[in-house]
Amino acid sequence: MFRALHAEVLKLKASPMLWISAVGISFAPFLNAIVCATTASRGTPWTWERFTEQNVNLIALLLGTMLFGLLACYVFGREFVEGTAKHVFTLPLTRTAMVLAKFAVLFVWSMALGVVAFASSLPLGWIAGLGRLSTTVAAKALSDHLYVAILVYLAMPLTSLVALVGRGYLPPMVFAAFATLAGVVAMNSSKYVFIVPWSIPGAMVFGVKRGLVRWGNPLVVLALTFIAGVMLNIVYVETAQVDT
Amino acid sequence: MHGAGSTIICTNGLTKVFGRHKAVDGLNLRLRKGEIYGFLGRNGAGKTTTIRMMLGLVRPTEGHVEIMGERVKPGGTRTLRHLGTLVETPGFYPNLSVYDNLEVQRRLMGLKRPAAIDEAIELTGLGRERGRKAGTLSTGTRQRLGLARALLHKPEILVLDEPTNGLDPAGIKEVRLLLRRLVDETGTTIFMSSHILTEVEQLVTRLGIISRGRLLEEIDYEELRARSRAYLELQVSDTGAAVRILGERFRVRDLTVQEDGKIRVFECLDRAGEVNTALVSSEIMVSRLVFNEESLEDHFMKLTQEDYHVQSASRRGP
Repeated sequence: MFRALHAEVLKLKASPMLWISAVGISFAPFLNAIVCATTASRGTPWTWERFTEQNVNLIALLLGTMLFGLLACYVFGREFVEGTAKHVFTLPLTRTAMVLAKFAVLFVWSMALGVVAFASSLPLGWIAGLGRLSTTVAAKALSDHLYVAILVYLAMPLTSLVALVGRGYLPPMVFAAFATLAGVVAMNSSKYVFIVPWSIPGAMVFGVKRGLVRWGNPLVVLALTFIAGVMLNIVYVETAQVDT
Repeated sequence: MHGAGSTIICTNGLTKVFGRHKAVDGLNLRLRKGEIYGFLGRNGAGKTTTIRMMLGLVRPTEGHVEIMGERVKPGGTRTLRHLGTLVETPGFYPNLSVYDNLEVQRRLMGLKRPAAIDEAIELTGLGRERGRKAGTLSTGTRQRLGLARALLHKPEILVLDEPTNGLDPAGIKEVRLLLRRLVDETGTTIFMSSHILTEVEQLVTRLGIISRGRLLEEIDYEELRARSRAYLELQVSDTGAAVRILGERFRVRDLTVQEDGKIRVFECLDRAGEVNTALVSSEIMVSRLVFNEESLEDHFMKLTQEDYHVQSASRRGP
């Protein structure tokens, strides 16, 4: 497992996806900074708390599923797209270890993007005129960004499964777009939140706060989705044939 | 223990069916330790599917593969530690350099020595490309990198699918010498598929010829050479008349007429002068008369064409 993890980390060296994902996640604070500056000019200035909350909502509801889905399809789909599957599957390393290593890398990458989203919000918030940021608010903002990154990450195994089954980038990207849309639609009804995992990050950071959703149940659904998703990924890879 | 000459890879009734198409049909191969096995077949004959089943990439419909006495299973890892592989055009991580691609392999194989990478680079002549990104490499250089990756952990068995694909003549020769050296110095066993007969001819110790998924022949190369038949090849102005004269005057029965009209005579080899005189005196112009030997190419073409005719006839029915 450690060997596979080591190799997975190296595979990302000099990858343009690192920068693309960092720029992508910074889009949330960038967009909110524009809105923040616009509303401030109309006499209703935002606070750092509001700014952070809006960033987290945007990531949870829209950006996260799409962007993290892109990472999942890159990490899992590239072995087929780049033609390396027919080689790595002939190595004396269990395929389960390879899948788990990919999920571990995806987790670290997701957390790093949470940090990048927080870090990029600092200069953007300052430029938007939010003023001084206290240590307490900054710490809360960082933990909120990491929290939403974990939530979105937990919904990713289904996208990675589509990348494996679809053996390329296009099917999981289409799926990620669908998942984003389904998540947004399901968010409007607390009844459907439980059956659409991609709506749960939004429900957790948005609905719970407003009393629309109870805290415990969606998290259980999300955890079960993750566990079942990882197992499906493992079962698929363990039995997959590389015949193209 | 697997001593020299012992069977190291064997396939038993190996069959693969894709939909209605039988890609591999009851294949029984034997690869012995220390040999270079050339797996010959036309494009689409079933070579790559066979290799993929050997490596556990594709599940056989029937039969099985054994490597060093252990059965190969998709997802199984026990047998794979002995192998170095190159399957068709090798894939690499395009964002990584030649060196880093090999570093990924080193880590996945759990090799302790970083020097193994330098050794593989030197062995395959990739010194100048070590810092270049894999995505920018030419087909030939990618093939070398594929070989370097396969050789990195100094495997006991190399399974190579068309290893000289995309290489120029000099590159093909280098690979041939490299593989020969590996066998001579380290006793590596090599199973290589190819459709380029001249490449195989100069390297292998044993041959398997596959056509339409079936193994037509498995033979030691030395035996094939000993069996190769000498013949007189004639190019004449009137093939039909020449064949008649050969039959009537020289009692020749063993001859073939090639598609291009050339006649191959397998008898009366010591009477080439008389044959020439007889044809010329019958006003048949002889534009070519050479003494030749049946090459591997001839043998291969004969076998696969016979197979084609047999298959076509069996499809047409009685």
